[in-house]
Amino acid sequence: MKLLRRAADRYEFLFGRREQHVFCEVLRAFPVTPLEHHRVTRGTATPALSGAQQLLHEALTDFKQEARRRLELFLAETHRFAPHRDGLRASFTGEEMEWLLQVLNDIRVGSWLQLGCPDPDTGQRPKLTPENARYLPLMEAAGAFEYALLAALDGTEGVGWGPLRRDD
Amino acid sequence: MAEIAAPVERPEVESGDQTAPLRGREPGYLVVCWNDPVNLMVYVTHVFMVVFGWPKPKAEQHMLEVHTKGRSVLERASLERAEFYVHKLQAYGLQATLERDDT
Repeated sequence: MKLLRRAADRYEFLFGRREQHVFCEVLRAFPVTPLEHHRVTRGTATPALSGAQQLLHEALTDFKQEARRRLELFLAETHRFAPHRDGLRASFTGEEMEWLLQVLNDIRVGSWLQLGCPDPDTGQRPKLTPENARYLPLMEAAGAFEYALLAALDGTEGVGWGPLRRDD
Repeated sequence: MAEIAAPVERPEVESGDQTAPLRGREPGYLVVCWNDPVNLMVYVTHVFMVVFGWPKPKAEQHMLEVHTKGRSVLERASLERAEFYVHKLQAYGLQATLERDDT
């Protein structure tokens, strides 16, 4: 996933063919983060904060339902990815970039939860089982696509990850 | 927070940061962001810039505080306003909470 150009509020990317397939498959996993993960406070529960917790869950339920509806439309758009000499070309508005970041990060965080919340800083590795193994590549791929989007928004080449060079 | 490959330059610390709780102000709520090993550092910085409209150095300062100290107070506000920010931050997948500020 490589930024080709930015014009006004549009960001045009080049995807390898396999890469575009992976991108869509990763997005298809949304939502992954369970509602229970979202806590409004770590402090003492008060009536005001109990109400705030309920409001948060309602707001995020609406947000995720709308994002899922929008995602289905996005994935069904046959003209979203146009053929290019080196793969497929797609452009996103700034608003779509933000939405994609939110969707991808939900997938990344939810996958991390499924893997037992591994922490590389403390040497804690993912707790892999046959049931959750698919979340490891999902988490890493979502993060890689996030990097590419963030680098485009930031006007940099990106860090820690480069686009795939060969297809098929 | 998940590390990035490139170093992040530590920004200048602003004097008189308006997000710091001050004595003598009306009781309110703190919007706190907590560290986790999954959210990318560049992502957290970006989200702070979008949600609060902060310039990059200030967003990076708070991101680094989250990363090194485990949490950062991002804003002090009324319950309604603090909820607004927490909803925005959690929609981006950050571990943001509101805590009663009794100082």
